[in-house]
Amino acid sequence: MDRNELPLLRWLLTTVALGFLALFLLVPLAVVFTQALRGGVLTYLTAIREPSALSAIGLTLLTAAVAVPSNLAFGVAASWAIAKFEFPGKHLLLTLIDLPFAISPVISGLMFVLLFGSHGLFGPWLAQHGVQVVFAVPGIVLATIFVTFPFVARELVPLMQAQGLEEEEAALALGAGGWQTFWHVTLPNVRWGLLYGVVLCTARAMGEFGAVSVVSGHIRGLTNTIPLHVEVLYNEYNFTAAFAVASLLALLALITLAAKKLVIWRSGRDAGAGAPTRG
Amino acid sequence: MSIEVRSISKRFGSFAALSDVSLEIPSGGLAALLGPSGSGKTTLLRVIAGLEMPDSGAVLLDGTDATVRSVRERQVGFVFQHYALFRHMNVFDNIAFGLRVRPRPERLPEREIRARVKELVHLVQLDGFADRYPSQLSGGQRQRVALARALAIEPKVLLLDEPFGALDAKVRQELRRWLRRLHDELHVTSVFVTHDQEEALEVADRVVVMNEGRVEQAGTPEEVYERPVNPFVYHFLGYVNLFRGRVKGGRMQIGGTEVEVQGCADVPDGPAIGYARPHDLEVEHQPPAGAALQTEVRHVHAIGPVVRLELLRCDTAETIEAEITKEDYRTLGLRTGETAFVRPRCLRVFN
Amino acid sequence: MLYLSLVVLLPLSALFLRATGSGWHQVWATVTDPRVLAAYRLSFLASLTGALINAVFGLLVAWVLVRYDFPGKPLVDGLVDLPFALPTAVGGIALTTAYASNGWIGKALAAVGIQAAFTPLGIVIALTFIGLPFVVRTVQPVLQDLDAELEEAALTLGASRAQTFFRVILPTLAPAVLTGFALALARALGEYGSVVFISGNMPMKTEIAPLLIMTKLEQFDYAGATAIAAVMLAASFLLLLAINLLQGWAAGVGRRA
Repeated sequence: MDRNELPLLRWLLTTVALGFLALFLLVPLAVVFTQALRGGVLTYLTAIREPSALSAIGLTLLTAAVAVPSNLAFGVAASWAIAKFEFPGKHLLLTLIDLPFAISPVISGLMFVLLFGSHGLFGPWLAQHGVQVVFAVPGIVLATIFVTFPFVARELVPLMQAQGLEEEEAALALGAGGWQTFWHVTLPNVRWGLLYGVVLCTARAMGEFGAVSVVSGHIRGLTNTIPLHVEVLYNEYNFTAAFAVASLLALLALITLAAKKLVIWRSGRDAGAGAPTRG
Repeated sequence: MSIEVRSISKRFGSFAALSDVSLEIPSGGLAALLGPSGSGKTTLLRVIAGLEMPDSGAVLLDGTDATVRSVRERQVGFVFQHYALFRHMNVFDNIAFGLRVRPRPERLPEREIRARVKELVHLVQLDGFADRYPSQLSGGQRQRVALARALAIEPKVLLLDEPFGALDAKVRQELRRWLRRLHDELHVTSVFVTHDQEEALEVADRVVVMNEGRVEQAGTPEEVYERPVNPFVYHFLGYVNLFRGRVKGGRMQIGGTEVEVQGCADVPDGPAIGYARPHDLEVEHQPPAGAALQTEVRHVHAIGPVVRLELLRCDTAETIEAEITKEDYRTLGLRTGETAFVRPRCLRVFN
Repeated sequence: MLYLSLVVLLPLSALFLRATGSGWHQVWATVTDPRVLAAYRLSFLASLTGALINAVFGLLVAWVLVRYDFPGKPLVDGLVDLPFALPTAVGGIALTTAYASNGWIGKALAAVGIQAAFTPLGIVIALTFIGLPFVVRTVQPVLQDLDAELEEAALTLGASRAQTFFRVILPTLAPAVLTGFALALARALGEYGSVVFISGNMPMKTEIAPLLIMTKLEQFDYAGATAIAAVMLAASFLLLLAINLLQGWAAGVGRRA
């Protein structure tokens, strides 16, 4: 007896589900690319190579280049500590790591303005030393670090926890030092999760909008990242250019999705080391 | 309700789970489907239940063809190997489930359902546990809930898939006896699947030995144990001692001895293999009158009601296992390393 | 540990110091201003609607992905994560363009007299978009691990397919659906980039709370912005707590002791 539904019901459910997905996923994706290429390939390339666009790309890359490695280092250290040790405040640490996820990006940006803005906690001190954080590049970088903070850790913690301590203990028993164990045993086991965490972190660092919007001051050519530049172009009704620049980020998103598939496939192949299950 | 299965075949891809299986179980009987993993016993059970559709053949329930009837229509109670209890419902609601999902016209009033469930809870000796959730029960308790749940719908047939497989040895024994008693009380035609021959022989009144999708033998426990039709059945139901020798005129020569061959007198003369159970061997400390096999005692297992002797044949260096009563053992006074003389009382030979 | 404090704790404390520094009366006045209340109400209702839509359709999508086969399934499965991977601004302008009265979908809706962009409906659509992966991804593994024997048991006991779904399968999936719902809700409440373009930002009508914060900041009304933010933060914490509890409950129910 086939325990499944009638074929008609199956077909109906599948169609509705796919229709829903097409409406909400395919349409926006299609819009980005069709609008971007509306004026032809030449217009597309011009929009991307325009000076303010280029500086936006540059700033975005710079931000990512700072945010990702520092969050990577922290993420690895934190997940290692959480997975392998018991210490007071462990749960607090976990909650704190999840924090940037729970807070609206605008509020995140607001916090930095309150800290480093001219009326903020450190405002006077910064002004004294001639350092500009908010409405300047450092502010953008800091806000991005905050917002992308959890990504690496969240990928690694469940992975490392699932793997337990046995392999590390075996290595230590065989005489390996702490650092050697970490480098040769712990890290290779989580390499796919790590890779995916880095990919997510990078994508989010480059695409962050809300938090950066608050902190940046929107000074064209100076403190605009790619998403902010897209906003500027859109608000000027320069749709084709806006979508052209946006398509870069859309491509990055698709690469992220492909990376996830790759990671699941490879880590599944590496004999059940626990594939990342987070979206 | 009687069950009859005619020429059932079922394949999964290229794997033949059942090949031309035919079987009859009389109404009120308690049958065991016994066999190793992959023998097809669970598949057969599921075909009877309607959870699998056979590729060919027929399933008859009470004489009528039920092959195309859906699971719901067959009114079979099924107890799964891992119980399949609904984790989000307590014991009471699990047992009541079958009664509550009946179509409105057939459904009993809630009050009656409650009464019936209470009876069943009492029947399976889980009074006081009705409020508990499956995660709060032991394996044996869960098994009893699964049974009560299946019985609630008053099935004509009760099917159990390795019901005691996941339980501790002691719990298993208790539940076996309990199932037997329950069956005697309720007289529901029951079929259970097991790979444990001891369980099958102890509980069932009919044993069906299966192997590689085929029925090797079906009969009473005594029949399959004492009169197995082929080496597989013989091997599966207990320890086997093999003796190689020659048959001549209804008697077999092994080593220097001559033993009578049991069963078919039409065993042709020539080389043959004789089968004997451990308890069919006579063991002596002194050379007996008449020929016997000389062996060396390798190991004595004297714990329990019978004593098991591991003996090494001096002529062929084959190991024989013999079982003798504690009394005989004390009388014989055998110890490891000593010589013992063995004579099979009778041998079984297969063509 | 030091890194953690610098990156997380410091900004947080700044926020609260500021908020309380303004004096409770002023905070209360800000928070109860009609425009602010309208923004809260809109944010909450729109997020709730979007999360509910995702709860229902996310369950459906997860069901279809796990149980049925169709050409291109792996591709579709991968695409479900798009709202999570796509920068919010990109999603925002794409949705606005599609649902504007001259957009692909906007046109079709206009023909039936429905306006999507620059209305609360548009906000709900954007919030549904960004919450889409959450329910699907929390339900999928649970559905995959669902024991086939449970459904077979229900069948042998006489349940119809519909009864099996509602009495056996759905209760087992409930914790996961709820968790996904809460996650989608939390995400939607704080969402800015996807919504700010399609909403039109009309005060009292289509102005969401995060935008209001932004507006106040641009006017240098730090006290006001902080007050609104503090309330939202409190709500986020409560939601985060609820999610953690839900996840703990889900793990407990699923355990086979």
